Amino acid sequence: MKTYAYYPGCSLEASSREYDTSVRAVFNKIGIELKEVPDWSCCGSSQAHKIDGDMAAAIAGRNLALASSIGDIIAPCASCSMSLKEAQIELEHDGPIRRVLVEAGYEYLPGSVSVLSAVEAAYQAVESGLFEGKISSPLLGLKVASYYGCLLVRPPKIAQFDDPENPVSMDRIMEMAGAKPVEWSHKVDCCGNAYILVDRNMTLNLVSNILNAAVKADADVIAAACPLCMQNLAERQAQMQQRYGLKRKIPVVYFTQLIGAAMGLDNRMLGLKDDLLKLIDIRRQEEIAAREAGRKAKEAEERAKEARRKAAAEKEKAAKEAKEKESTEKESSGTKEAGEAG
Amino acid sequence: MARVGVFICHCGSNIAGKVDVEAVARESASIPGVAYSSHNKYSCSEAGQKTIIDAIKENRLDRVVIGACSPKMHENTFRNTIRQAGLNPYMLEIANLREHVSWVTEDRDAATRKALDLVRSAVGKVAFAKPLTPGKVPVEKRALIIGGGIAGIQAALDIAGMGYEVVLVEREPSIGGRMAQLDKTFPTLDCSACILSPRMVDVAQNPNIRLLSYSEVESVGGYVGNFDVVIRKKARYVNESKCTGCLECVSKCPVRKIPNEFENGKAMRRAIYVPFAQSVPKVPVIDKNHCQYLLSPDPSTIEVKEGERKPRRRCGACKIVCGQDAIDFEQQDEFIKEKFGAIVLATGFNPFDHSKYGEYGAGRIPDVITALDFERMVNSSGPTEGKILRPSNGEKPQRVVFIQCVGSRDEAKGVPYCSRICCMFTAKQAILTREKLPDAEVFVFYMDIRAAGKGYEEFVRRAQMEYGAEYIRGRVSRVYESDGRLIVKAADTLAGLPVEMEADLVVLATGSVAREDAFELASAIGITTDSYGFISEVHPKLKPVEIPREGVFACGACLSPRDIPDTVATAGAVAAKVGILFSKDFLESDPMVAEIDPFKCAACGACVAVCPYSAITMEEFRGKKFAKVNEAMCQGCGTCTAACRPGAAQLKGQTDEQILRSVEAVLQW
Repeated sequence: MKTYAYYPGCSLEASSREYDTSVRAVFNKIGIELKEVPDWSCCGSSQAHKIDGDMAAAIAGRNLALASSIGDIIAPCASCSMSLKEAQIELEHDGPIRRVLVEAGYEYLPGSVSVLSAVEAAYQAVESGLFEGKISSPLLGLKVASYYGCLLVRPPKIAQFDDPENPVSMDRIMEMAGAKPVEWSHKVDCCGNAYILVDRNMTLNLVSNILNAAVKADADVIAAACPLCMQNLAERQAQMQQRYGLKRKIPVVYFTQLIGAAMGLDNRMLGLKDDLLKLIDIRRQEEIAAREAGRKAKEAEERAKEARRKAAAEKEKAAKEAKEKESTEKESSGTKEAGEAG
Repeated sequence: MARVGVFICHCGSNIAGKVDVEAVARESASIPGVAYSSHNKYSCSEAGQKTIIDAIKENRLDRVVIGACSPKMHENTFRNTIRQAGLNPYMLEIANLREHVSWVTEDRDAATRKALDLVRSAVGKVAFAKPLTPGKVPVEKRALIIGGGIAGIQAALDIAGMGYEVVLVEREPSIGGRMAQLDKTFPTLDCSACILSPRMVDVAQNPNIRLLSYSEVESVGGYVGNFDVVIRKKARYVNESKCTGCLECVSKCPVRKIPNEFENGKAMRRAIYVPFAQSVPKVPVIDKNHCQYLLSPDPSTIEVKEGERKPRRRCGACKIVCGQDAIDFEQQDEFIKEKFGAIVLATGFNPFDHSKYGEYGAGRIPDVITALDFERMVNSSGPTEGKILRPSNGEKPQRVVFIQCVGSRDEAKGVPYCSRICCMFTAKQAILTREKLPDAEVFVFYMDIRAAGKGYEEFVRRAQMEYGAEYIRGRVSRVYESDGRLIVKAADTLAGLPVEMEADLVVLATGSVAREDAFELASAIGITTDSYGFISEVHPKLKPVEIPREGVFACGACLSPRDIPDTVATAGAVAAKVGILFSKDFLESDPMVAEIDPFKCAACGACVAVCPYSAITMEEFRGKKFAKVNEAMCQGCGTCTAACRPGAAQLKGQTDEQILRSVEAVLQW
């Protein structure tokens, strides 16, 4: 069993409980142990680096130092994983931040940990086959729009994961869970993040564009991987329908909730709404029916082909026999003639 | 006893500003062996050199130390100076008091101390110098040009025009290169094929030029004036001397669906083909990876079992129709070994692969095309016969958006440099679009307009004012499909506003990158490339077409992205340099090469194994084995002298004795 240090961050203990429980449940099921970083503190996200970059790195660096005794860190929140990754790059060389940490009694050994977002960790698990045999109820036919937002894959120098403009890792994970990832245009567009507090109008405009793009791609559900994105995308959809031209409501869930459903995990750990669970079932039935129909059509076609082939072969055989008969008749009559001549 | 003269140069204030030159000259006089010392404001000036010559004659000096700038700068100058005073030019040692001392410190005392140490060291070394005489090597007056684009074509014609033999090697079935793919050229809008084709024909008809198309350079050995080159002539399966270029074979070939490289994969070719109508030579090539005849086994070698169908006859349609019997399926790759005096690299560039731009669809959106796709599309012999059409549905676009700097000036994509030609070809393509589709709107998104060239800025202004192309300054952040059109999202940085517009066709101004296999070629020839894979020149200003390997030159876009005028100019420059080299019958070889004392040599062979130039061989004389250096091949790297345990291998001018004395001189004091 592989062990990772687990850094939940503030959101997963408050607004995004279902992300926390579904991440833990999914990783537990594939044999990955998550050990919560002891005495973890705020990652400094959003605010700290605007005020003082060194302070931000030190705040995140403290958590890295605490985790280094356990191993590589999984930080599900995109913003947390980015803050930690940024601090880790800073701490890899001997600089002021490392000295500040030492003064405060925290030691970080260079190269001791690497920081992974939950998507990265899940993608690695898919690559190394940890999900094999674990998908008991695949999400057949479910059209998923994977939404990456900004911080999961950007800036590329820090994220060092997937294509920064056209990421595909979450789509691959969804494929593994049996679902159908849709091609869509807004997978890395900005959701407005904390700007909802500053400029509500602008942020809701951005979010409506994202949601409409998913609707246009005919997605059943949007899979997200960041508590901040989730807040902006999932809340206020009714308001957006009225004032911002959102065409229809669309459920938004964490990608781990969907994996959990595909693994048949207890929905108390996943927190999926009944409507979505129903939709998953409906899509699955539809897909199974469609596949069955397709299979039958193919079989029928095969049978027809075989019949045609047989008929053609028989016809050819008959023609051949007739020809042979004719020629033997000719031959025998020929010998007769010859004999008569002799 | 040696009589050494020491001359310390002020180099204006370059050295004297940090080093107490008078003190150094004074102290030098007491170094054992020094018979004379002085200092001078500019030793390299005519007056300075005369002072040195006079001092040598007056004081009967037999060797000289000059404390001045780097030997890279003026070693040859001063060798000439002492030669004029009657000394062997190799009885000279330079103490680098500028790059190694005055330019790298603020501390005057330390600078003076180090300057004196370096002078002592040089005196120690020069005291054991021996007169050396350069050897003479004949020059093979024949040039090899690698790459048959406009750079290689121009260089070949110019060198051949001087009366020298040229062999032009081109990897593709035809010469012409990138320029042959273009429609019109900026800023005069003359047709690319019309100005290029006559030169291609000139190459084919010039008696001094031998064209080896569909060929590659396998290996390069030897040295300036005497390169040994092996060229692989790939099997064409068509006999070049018999083929008349009627192309009857091409029209009968049944394999039709192979993406045509010349059309950037946007049209199909057959398995036997010429890349384009004006190909030189106009001799088709059979693509062995697609030819049905070459891919299927010989029927006579297959055993047919009872009840099985007999294998079909092999195709060979081209062979049947060829009236000249030029098709030869038995042809094999041919290896040609030849000697050359000079090599010219003209290997060109590749367009940037826009699959790195996920934000512009990474090549998955059919209506987002590259500039090269557009060139082929707008060309009357291209896949759409010159019509500008949307690849997705074949309709005329109402609005065409050009995006500049795709794969240029973009650090995140690993291309921080400017590709120099994209601003201009985008303006040209905007003009062509407005000419062919007067009803269509044209927008160009740009970062800056870099139109430095004769008539270039005026050309861009024409695109804007006369042809009505709308230029918007700002980066495009995303292009995606929506309801059968494209959505382009960008920032207008002059208006300070976000822009979102619909478009039917988006053309990416893809930048120039080095050819992926350039590095392979570079290391085969022993040359270096910069971090982007472009070939490094010796000096970007003063030696722009010379590369560090003597006798090898480069021109065109294999050095850095450049347009046709600059490419042609550098090709001419290369021809001049080759001409200089070929104007001599013999070259002086550097006498500072290795020498092996046969009496000390233990014949262990260590030097033979380490020599990177294969210049050392084992010889035998009256039963005694020993290693011998081929002085013409030795590059004077000194690797053998380090490997030689008995100390038999010595580098002339850098003997163990000299190096030990120069180190000793520093340590003694």
